[in-house]
Amino acid sequence: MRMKHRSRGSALLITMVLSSLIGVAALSYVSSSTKEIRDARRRGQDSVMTHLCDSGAQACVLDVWKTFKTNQTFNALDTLCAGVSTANPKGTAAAAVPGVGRYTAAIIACAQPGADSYTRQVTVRSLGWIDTNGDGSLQSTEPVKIVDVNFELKMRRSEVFDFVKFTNNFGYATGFTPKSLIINGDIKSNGNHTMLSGTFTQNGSLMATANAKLSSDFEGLISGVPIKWGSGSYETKQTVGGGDLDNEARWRQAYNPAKHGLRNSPEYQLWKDIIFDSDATVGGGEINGSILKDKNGSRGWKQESLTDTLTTTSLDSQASEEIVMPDLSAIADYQAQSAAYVDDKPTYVDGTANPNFGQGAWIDVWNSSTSSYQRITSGGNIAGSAIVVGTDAHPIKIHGPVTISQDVVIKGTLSGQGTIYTGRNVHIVGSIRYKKKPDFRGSSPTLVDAQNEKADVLGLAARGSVIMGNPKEFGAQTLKYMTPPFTHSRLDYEGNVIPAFDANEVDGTGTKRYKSVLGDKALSDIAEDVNQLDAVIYTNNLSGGELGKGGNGVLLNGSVICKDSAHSHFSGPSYRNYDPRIKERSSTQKPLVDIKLPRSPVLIHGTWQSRGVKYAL
Amino acid sequence: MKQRRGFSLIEALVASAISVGAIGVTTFIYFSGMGSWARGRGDIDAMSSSQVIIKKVSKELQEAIDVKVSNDGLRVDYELPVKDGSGAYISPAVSDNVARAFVVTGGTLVHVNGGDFRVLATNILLKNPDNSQDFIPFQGDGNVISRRVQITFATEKDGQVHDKRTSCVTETTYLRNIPKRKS
Repeated sequence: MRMKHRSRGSALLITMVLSSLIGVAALSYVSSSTKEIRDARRRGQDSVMTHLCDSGAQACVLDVWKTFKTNQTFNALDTLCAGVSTANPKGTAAAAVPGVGRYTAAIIACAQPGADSYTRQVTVRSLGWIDTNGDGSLQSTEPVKIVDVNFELKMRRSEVFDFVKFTNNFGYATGFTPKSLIINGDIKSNGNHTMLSGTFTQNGSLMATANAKLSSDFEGLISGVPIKWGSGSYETKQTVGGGDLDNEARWRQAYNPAKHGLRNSPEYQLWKDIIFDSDATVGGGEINGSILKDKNGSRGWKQESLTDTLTTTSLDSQASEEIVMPDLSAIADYQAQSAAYVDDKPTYVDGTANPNFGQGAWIDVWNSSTSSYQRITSGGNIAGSAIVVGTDAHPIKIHGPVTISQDVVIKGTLSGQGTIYTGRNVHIVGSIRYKKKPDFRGSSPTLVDAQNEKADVLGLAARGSVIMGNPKEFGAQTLKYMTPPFTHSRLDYEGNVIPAFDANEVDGTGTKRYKSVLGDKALSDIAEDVNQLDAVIYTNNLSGGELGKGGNGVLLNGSVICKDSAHSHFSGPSYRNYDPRIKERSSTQKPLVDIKLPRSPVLIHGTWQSRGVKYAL
Repeated sequence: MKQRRGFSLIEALVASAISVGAIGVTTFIYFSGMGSWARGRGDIDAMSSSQVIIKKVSKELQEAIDVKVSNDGLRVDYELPVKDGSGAYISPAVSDNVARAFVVTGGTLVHVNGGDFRVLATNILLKNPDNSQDFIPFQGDGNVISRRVQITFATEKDGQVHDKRTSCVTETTYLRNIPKRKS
C-alpha cells in the first residue's frame, strides 16, 4: 500500500503576500502621484472657472452700464430689476468660451440705498463651469465656481469739474507761448492732447485718454509737453503779483513743506486739493503732484523755461481713463431739479448760519425802472430766453440751480452761489466778475475754506454751446476753430455718428448754432470786451468765441468743460485759474461749495466674492 | 540500480555564481527602484507643497483689499473686506481691520492673521540650486497700486540621501477688490 504524501503550498502564499505588499505600495505611489495630478488639475480648473466667472460678471455689468451711461437715468435698470431676487435673477448674460467653458451671470439684487435717488447698488451672481459633456447646461457632476460681484451705479457730480479745462474730444493749443498762456490747474481730454504750435505754461497735471469713439486723435497721447514752473518759482510769481484779488488771489498756493507738511502727512492731506505741487512723487499708495498722464501711464516732468532741458520720470504704467461727460439732453430733468431745489446747508464750516438755508432756486436782477431787485425766475425756472446784466452797484443775484429753457445772455457783476442751466446757448457778452471774490491764500486749510465758502460762485451749463463775445463781430479766423476739422465727429455708445459741431449750421430754432435766438442786435447793443470770466462753464458742445479783443489780456477763473474748444485770445497774457471750491475733496468726497453742477454716470466697483467651487470627481 | 552522486565543485560554483548574479541584479533593481521611488515621492511632496501654498495664498489675495508687497518680495500684507451677517462682503468694501500677511522667513512661510501665526510650509527656497537664480515669492505689478501679484514658491523635499528634490510653481493672482482711485 502506497502512502500519500501531503505537501503544503507555501510558495504560492508567500508570492501572494509579496505581491499584495508590492501592490499596496504601488497603489500608494500611484495614488500620491495622481493626487498631485488632481491637485494641479483642480488648480487649473479653479483658474479657468474664475476667469469664466469674471467674463460672465463683466458681460452682465457691461449690458447694464452701457444702457445707464447712454440714458443717464435709472429708468431702464429699475424696470429690468423689478422683483429681482436670487430665485428670480434678471438681465442674464450667458455664453460659451470655445475650448474653455461656459458662463451664466445675472443680477440677483438691485436696491436704492436709503433716500439716495442718485444711486443703485447691484449684485451680479456669475457661474463659470466646465461643460464636460458639451450639452450647454450645467450638470451636478460638472465643475463649477460661483462668484458674487457688487457694484454701484451713480449719477454723481461729474469728475470733469476737477479740471480747469476738460475737452471731450481731442484737446489742443496753438499759437501760445509760456508767457501768453498760464494755466493754474489740471487739464484733461478724452482723446489726444496736442500742441499744434507754440506751447504754454501748465502749473498742474495734463492728461489724455484713449477714446475709441473719436474718428481721429483717439490714441490717448500727449504730444508736446508744456512748460511748468517749480513750486518755488510759482510762489515767487504769485507774491510779486501783489495779491491781485482777480488773479493771484485765485491761484492755489504753492506747495511748501514747512507750511503744508510733508507729502502724505495728515496736514498735507488737508491741503492737497487746494495747493499746487510741482514735483510728482509716489508715496502712501498714490501719486502726488503734477503729472503727465496718458495711455502710457504717469510721468513727472521738469521744464521751467524753453531753454531748460525737459526731464521726465516714469511713475506708473496705468493708463489714464475716460471720464463720462454729463448729458444735458434731457433738460426737463434739470428743470425739475430747479423746481425742487431747496438749500439744505444750515451752517457754514465756520459755524455761522447760512442765510439762504431752506430757500429754493432763483435769480434776482436790478430793475432800474422800479429801482429795486426783481425776481425773474418762477419756481427756479425761466421759460424762453433771458438777458441778465449786473453792475458793481447792482449785481445779478443768484441762488441754487436755475434753468432757462432757451438762451441766456449774461455779463457784469454777480453775487451769490448757483448754476444757470440753459436749453440752448449761454452767450457771454462781457466780463463776468464776482462781487465777493474768493482768495485761496491763508495760513490753514480751515481758514482758507472758511473765507471762501461764502464767496460768490457761478456755474453756466448749456445744452447747446457757450459763446463768448459778440457773435455778430466774429471773423473767419474765429469761426474756423468752430468748424471741422478743429471740431470732431464722434460715435455715440450705439456706434452712431454724431456729426462734428459746425457753427454755421442752422439748428431747430432757425438760428446759426453760434448765435442767439434773441438776434444779433440784442446782443450787440450790450456787448463789451470779454476780459474776465469768473465762472464754471459747461457745455455739451462747443465753448468758444472771442476773448480779450480790446486788449488787456484774459482771465478765466473757474473751469471750461466742453466737447470742442475754440477760444480765440486776441490779447495776452491769458490766465486760467482753477476754482478748487467745486472740487470733491479727497478727505470728504464733497466739494466745499455745491452749486449742483451737472452729474454724470459712474460705475463704482464694490466687492468680488467667491461663493463656492466644485471640482470634477 | 542507478548510482546517485553529489554536485561537482564546478556545478556548485556555477550555481553560486548564478545565485550571486541573480541576487545582485535583484538588489540593483530593488535599490534603483527604491531610489526612483524616493525621488518620485520627493518630487510629489515638493510639487504638492508648492501647489497647496499657491492655492492658499492666491485664494486669500484675490479677495483682499489694500495689498502691499514688500520691496524684498518676502512679505505681502493685506486686509479683507468686512462681512455682513449672511457672510457676504459689505459693499463698497470696508476693511475688517485685521492685519494679515504672508511672510517668508528662514525658509518658512508663515500666515499672520491678526495675532495668530501659522506655519503654512517649510523648506521654502529663495534660490534655484541649479543656477542660483532668485525665487521671489511675491511680486507686485510695479504700479503705485498693485492690481495683480505674481506668486512664486519653490519648495525642497527629501528625495534620497544627499538628493533633495525641488519644485517651483508660479501663479499670477488678480486682486479683484482693490478700490479704484480717481484717474
